Amino acid sequence: MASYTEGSRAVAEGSEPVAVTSSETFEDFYVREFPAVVGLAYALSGSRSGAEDLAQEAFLAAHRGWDRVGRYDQPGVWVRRVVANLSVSVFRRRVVETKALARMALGQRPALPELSAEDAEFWEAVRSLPRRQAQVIALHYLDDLPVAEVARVLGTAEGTVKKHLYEGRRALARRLELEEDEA
Amino acid sequence: MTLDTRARRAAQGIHRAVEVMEMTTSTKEPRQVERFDHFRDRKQRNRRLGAILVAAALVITAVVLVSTNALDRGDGTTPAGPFEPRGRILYGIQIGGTEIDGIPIGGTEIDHLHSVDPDGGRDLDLGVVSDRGARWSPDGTRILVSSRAGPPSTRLPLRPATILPDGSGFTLLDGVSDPGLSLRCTAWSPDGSRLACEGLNGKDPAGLYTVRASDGGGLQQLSHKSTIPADYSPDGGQIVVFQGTPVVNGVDNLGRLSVMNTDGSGVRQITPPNSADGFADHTSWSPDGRWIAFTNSGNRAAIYLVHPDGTGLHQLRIDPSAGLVNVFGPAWSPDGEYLAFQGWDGEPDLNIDLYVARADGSHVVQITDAIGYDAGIDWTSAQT
Repeated sequence: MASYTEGSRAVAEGSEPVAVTSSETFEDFYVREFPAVVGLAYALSGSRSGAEDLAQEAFLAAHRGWDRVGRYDQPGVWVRRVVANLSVSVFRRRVVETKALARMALGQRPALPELSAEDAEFWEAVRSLPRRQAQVIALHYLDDLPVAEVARVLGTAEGTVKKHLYEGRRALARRLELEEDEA
Repeated sequence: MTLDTRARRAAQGIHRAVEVMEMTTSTKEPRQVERFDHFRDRKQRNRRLGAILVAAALVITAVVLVSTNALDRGDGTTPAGPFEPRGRILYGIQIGGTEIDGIPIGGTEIDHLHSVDPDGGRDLDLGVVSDRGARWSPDGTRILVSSRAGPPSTRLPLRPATILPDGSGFTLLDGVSDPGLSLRCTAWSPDGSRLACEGLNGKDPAGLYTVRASDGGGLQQLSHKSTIPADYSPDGGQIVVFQGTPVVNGVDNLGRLSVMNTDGSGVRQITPPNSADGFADHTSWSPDGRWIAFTNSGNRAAIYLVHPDGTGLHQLRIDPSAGLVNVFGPAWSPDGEYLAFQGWDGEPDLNIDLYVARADGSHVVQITDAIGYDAGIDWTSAQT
């Protein structure tokens, strides 16, 4: 049952986006994708002050590896995967939130406005779901992504996404006392 | 209203918020790319500043050490002995968001259990997945896990279970008949007879319980409040527990530590509100009974020490030359000479590794170097 490991372990998750040659500059990519990525961070983290930093962290990672990431046919998939994972990491959110709050204390207001009470309630319910379900729901509804695209972003199988989408929607409908739509 | 309608409205709410942010920042603040440049510059500046602070801390430390040595001369203070931590450390690598195209990302959920020597040798994958809070039995012959470590039929309601140190021999301790009560057991009494458990009714807290370690029966309720047992006192007479506040914006899980007698009486709060993390594996009682080590991740994650009567609260200073930005999840060595803990070097990859240091925070040694989030430390004296 047990197995010894020597040295470091590689715990890979997800498939690598397909690399193709692209001439898009990082600046163009950033301007095009930033709004959607910060929206995803806001929905999954619930933090007005921290969402922008989470998105910036993801773009910073993309910037560092732009020689490689920039050659993917859809670098936006990669950066969404990073921010989707950063945003549901309690520890990471905590670090980002702390830094953002420190800046707020210095008088810099968060740029993101508060959501309406109804929308805030919905996303709070999403964040209370298991991590993968929350990511699938957010990607599906925020970016209007089909199952295959959500699977690509999260680096997982389409069947897994369908399962999380089904279970997440059921849980949300129950929690928010809403009717479930036909699949 | 249907779920789809509500969800699409909520998505529009997010899109509108981002539009407002863009309008605000495009008129009052630098353009988007300049904001990114500022963010990147700030990170680089912070890193440079961190290096300067570490250098300054090293100088101050050197001065203090020289001064201390000068003062200690003649009073019988002996130098520290050889750095030889013994026993076996249990830890978990957390599942979830572990790597994206070569960039490791931390997770926060369930642990893949491992054991490792305190010098980093013989890292053993136990082949078992369990909830956080796995614990060695006091004699080191078994490991307390949750019933989630077993086959699907044992996973609900949650019950304590044990495995052997090599990961085999799953034994369910299903001595409680109430199917509506789940038990998440995270502390083992020093005489090996009882387990302390957080009660859950569905996802709702249902108080603090103990059960027999032999069969999971003999249920006793110690508290009706939401309470997470962290560790027994070495004499087995008391338990240190976490009593929390609701999670705020899904961000924090902070509360206070209290100490109570093992029959639930004599509860006394020993740390201020919002001072301690709500994870059982983030608190550890020293083998000599004098100190309780715990974590506060609310700001810059750090390890704190407090006496069981609530006095002497102070932050443990970890040798700054180790270059760790955050340290958390302490566990005492069985002889009380060392502490194992989690550390983060400040990189956005969130690669959390385990470290061992002397109990005074000096002589920090990294013992795991894995991609992922290593957590849930417990230390036994047994050479399993």
